[in-house]
This record gives sequence, structure tokens and C-alpha cells, in this order.
Amino acid sequence: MPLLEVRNLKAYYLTSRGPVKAVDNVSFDLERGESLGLAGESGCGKSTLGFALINLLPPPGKIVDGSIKIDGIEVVGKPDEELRREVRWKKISMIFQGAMNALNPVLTIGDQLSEPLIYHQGVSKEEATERVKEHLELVGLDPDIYKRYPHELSGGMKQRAVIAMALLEHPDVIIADEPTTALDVIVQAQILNLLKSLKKKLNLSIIFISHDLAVISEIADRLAIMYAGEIVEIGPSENLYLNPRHPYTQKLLGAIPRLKKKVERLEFIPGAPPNLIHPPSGCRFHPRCPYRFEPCDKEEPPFIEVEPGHYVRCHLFAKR
Amino acid sequence: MGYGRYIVVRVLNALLVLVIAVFLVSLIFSSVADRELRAQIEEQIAAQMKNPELLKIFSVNKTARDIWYQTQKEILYKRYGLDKPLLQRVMSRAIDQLKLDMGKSHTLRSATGSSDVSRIILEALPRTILLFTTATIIVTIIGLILGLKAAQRAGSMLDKSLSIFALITYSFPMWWVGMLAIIVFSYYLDLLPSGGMTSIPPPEGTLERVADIIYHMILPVSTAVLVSFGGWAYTARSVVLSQFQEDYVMAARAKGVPERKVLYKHVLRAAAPPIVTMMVFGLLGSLGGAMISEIVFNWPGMGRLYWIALQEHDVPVLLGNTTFSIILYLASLVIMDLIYGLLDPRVKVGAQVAV
Repeated sequence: MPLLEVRNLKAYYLTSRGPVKAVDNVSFDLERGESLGLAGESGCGKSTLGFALINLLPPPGKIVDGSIKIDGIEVVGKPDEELRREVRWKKISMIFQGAMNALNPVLTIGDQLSEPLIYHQGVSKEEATERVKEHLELVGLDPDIYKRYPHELSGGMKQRAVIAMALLEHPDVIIADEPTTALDVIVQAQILNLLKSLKKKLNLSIIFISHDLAVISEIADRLAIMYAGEIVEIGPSENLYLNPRHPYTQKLLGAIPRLKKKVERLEFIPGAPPNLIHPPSGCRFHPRCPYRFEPCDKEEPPFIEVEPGHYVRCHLFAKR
Repeated sequence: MGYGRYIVVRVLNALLVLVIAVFLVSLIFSSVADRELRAQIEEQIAAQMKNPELLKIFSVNKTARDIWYQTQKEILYKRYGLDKPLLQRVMSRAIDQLKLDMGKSHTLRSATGSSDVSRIILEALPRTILLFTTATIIVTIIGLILGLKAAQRAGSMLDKSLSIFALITYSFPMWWVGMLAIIVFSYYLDLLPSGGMTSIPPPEGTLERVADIIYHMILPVSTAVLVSFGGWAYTARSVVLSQFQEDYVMAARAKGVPERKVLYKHVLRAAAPPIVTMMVFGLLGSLGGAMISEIVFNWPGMGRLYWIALQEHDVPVLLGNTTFSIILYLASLVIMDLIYGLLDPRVKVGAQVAV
């Protein structure tokens, strides 16, 4: 049984103009010790998926259908109080986008990091402080910073503290939502190396959300590409990077600047991501797809296994 | 370390501002105070000239009268320092003010009959503070609770009606509401006193006295509360709501922090500095607006004292009242800064950089 099992998940923002289908019919698995990269353009629903997994969609967001099983426990529809006590941070934790904002500016690092231990496990303040210090050391920080305030730390240090916070209760799944986006490249590399070594050391299962495919390639064992609220291609990273099948994935990879190859001009995808209140019929990518043909605007393409473990949602690969 | 130094810097800053402000006030009051003083001297000499023996001499010798008048004038000018240059006069007046040696009033007297200006003011000051601090505390509590509730349920009926209520009451001038309240509650219904701080004569016994003062405070305090708590709640709502949208609130929820703790430990703690600022400025604002309100309710505080001193041309009282107001204002700001330093760890760093 996979550690995390997501089936037909639908997370919508219920606005007055109609539901915004930010995550529509998403299914995937995550094994223990595995890292799954989640990539896509801004607004494709990847962050929404992250928040849906931890069941904390900002209103008016709501999980309308589907199932999320973490270690066999169904979390969709579980009362909030039970989620708070049993699931959040114990089973699934999150490294937030922009660590500077994920820390309360008026509380010390130690205060904020010890909270889950105190509220969940009922440990004493002293014991919590000890555990916090251990984890600060684990992420390469001086344990003495537990009494410092967030503004006294650099961006990289804050990001490390946020990672330590996510690790505190040894959760089964860690969601990393753009953990390096706000950092400069040097610090970004340090943080990525840290995450990689932690993953090996602690056998972590990570869902790594980013718009930056280069960053994801560093850490992901498997890669899922999202477009307009759906996963359009998922498979082992290597296969996806070297042999992308979905036209969208091909375009996305083509849009990465390269040093070695001289490129006349960077590719881009004409058109804009679709309005998610009224997504296009059939394949959601068809209005921007250069290869579209007859069934694309009518039938929704099924997931097609093109190689073992490599699935594509595209009519081009349908066996006919 | 950090906080001690921060306190010293803030207090020194405030003292510097105090010296400059008092000097400027002394300068502004200088010409009118000097004119008052000269007129006083004229009066004094005229009174002395009524001496029958002097009159007898003067009726014979007109030049003797002029010479006597001149010498008297010079003696008195010298005694009151009017012969010195303007800047020196302003300086000595400012120093007197800073030493709280504010001289004698012309016509106003304290309740005990003293004409000592500092005593008159120190009698009025606690009354003003009593009235407006009470009102501010009540407004803060009601406003904060309502604002929190509204922020938690942003967009709800409570939230919407609060905004409308705040808009309406905030645009009412306090003195106007006060007059209406007096008409209704003391004139028509005859429930509450129309003004003053105590009954005349005041009742015997400490407990009865306190009860009597509270009875007299009901109307002015409820007026102040009515016109300001809506706006207060609305501002508190905005401050708290902006904190609710911060990522760390989501992080705290994700960490499994109970909702009540999220509100009180995270949100309120982070929202506290702006709320304290609002509270202190609200208090200072109400003290500044105290003149009209105190006149309407005939409350014998600083505002009414200023008004009466103005009508009576009692310059020493005006000057002293102004100085005390400056001190009160600066003291409140220093206290606010100190609280701020405790509430927001980021503030102290700023102070160290500024040194």
C-alpha cells in the first residue's frame, strides 16, 4: 500500500462567479522514502493541491470530492478538530512558500517550533526546547538560535528553521511548497542539498512543489506535470526529462534557458492558461496545443501508460 | 542590554522634545505675558499712588510725581525681569516652566483657594485623566472584542453592521451627542446629572463620594464610548484581519495549534503593537478634544480650566496648562514606546541603529 494515496481529488474555490476548478480529478501515489516533484505554470493548481493535501485550503477553497489516504487514514471529510490532533504535522507537514512569512515576527524561533510538540504530544516546555535544539542542529543551524526572533536571521537561516519545524514530529509526508523560490541561487543550492541529505538520512517522503523544473530535477524521483488543475503527465524523473511525451511537458522543458546549447530564441507556449471556471472541453491543453487533432476538443483523454510507471494524458498516445 | 538602552534613548529623546517645546511655548506666550505683566505693574503703582501722603506731595510738585512714577516703574520692571533682553526673559520663563514653578494665577483659584498655578493644574489634571482614561479603557475592551469577532467572521452580518455603525457614530461630534444625551437623560428623564463632577454639596464619607463621582461620570463616559467604540472596533478588525491573512497563521494552523491559541498567541500578539498605538493616540486625541466635552458636561478638568483661563486672560494658567499638556503627551508617547519595545522585538533594533 502506498504511503499517500490521492484519488480523483477535486478542490474548488467556490466564488460568486462559479467554482474555480483549481484541482480537478487528480490521482497519484507516493511511496515511503520517495520524492515527487510537482511542476506547472503559475495558477495551474499546484499550491492548491498542496494545501488540499494538508486540508487547509484558504476560503472559499474546498475539497468537493475525492479521497486522500495518508498511511491508510482517510482525511477528506474528517472533522477539523480530529485533523488538528491526529493528522496535521504528525502525518503530514509542510515547508511553506517564503519562509519569512511562515514565521510569526513577534515570537521566538524556539517558541514557534516547540508549539506542535507542546500541543500534540503534551511534552514539557524544557523537553520541547531540547527537541527543537536537536532539530535545529539537524538542519545545520546553531541550536542557540532558538531564542532569537525571525528578523534576526537571514533568509536561508529562516528557511532552514522552517524545514526543522516541518521535521519535528517525524511526519510521514512532507509537502515542500516552493521552498527555495525566494532565495538567491547560492542559498537555494544549500537548501536543496540539505533537503537531499535529510531525505536520505531520514528516509523522508517529499512532495516538492515548484515552477522551476531545474530545481525539481535536483530532488525528485518522480515528476508530475500539472496543467489547468489536472496532472497531464507523471512518471520517473529521468524519463520525463529525457523523453517528455505530453506536448505541454515538451514545451515546458523547451522553455528552460540553457548554457551549453545555443538557442536562437527560448520557446514559449502561445496563449495563456485557461480560465478555470470554464475550462476548455476535452483536453484542457487543446487550445494551445500544436498537435491537436480531431478528438482533442471533444473527449477528455485518459491516462495512458507509455512506459512502465510513465503515464500521459494525451490522445496522441491512444492505442487505436 | 538592548531594552535598557532603548528605554534611555526614548526618555532622552522625549526630554529633548520637552525642552524645545516648552521654550517655543514660552516664546509664543512671551509678548502677551509681558503685556499682562506691564499692566499689572501700572495697576500696582496706581494703587500705591492713592496713598494720601503721596497725593499731598504730588499735588504741589508735578515733576516729583513723574520722577517717583519712573523710579517705581524701573524698580518693579527690574524685579520682574522686564529690563532684560527678550531671549533671556523667554529662557528664564521656560526654565521656570520646566521646574514646574509656574507662578501665581491672576484670577483663578484652586478649590482650596490657592492661586498657585501648579496647584490649580494638578487639581484639574487627575479629573481629566480619570474621565478619559476610563472611557478609553471601556472603548478599547468593547472595540477589541467586537473587532476580533468581526475579523473572525469577515463578511458576516456582524461585520457588515459593525462597519455601518462605525461610519455613522464616528461622524457624530462628541459634544453634540453629549448635548443630546443631557437633554434626554437629565432634562426629560431626569435620571442622570447634567454636569459637574460631584453633587453640591458633596456627600459625606469616602464610599458615598466615590459613588457620587461615578454617578456623574456615567453620562460623559457613555457619550465618549458611544461615539468612538465603533470606529475603534472597525480599525481593530482591519488590523486583526490583515494578520489573519499572513502565512504564519496558516502555518500555525497546519502545525496543529488550536484555533483559540492561533487567535490569542499568534494573531493578537502580532497585532498588539498597532493596537497599542491606536489606544494611546485615542487617549491623547480624547484629551486634546477634552475642552469642548468638558465644557458641555461642566467637568472641572484641564480642558475646562483652559477655557476659563482663556476667558479670564489668566496667562500663567494658560502657560502652565500648556506645559502640563506637553508633559502628559510626551509621557504617554514614552510609555507607548516602552510597551511597543516589549511587544515587538523588531523595534529595539531600530533604536540601536538610530543611536
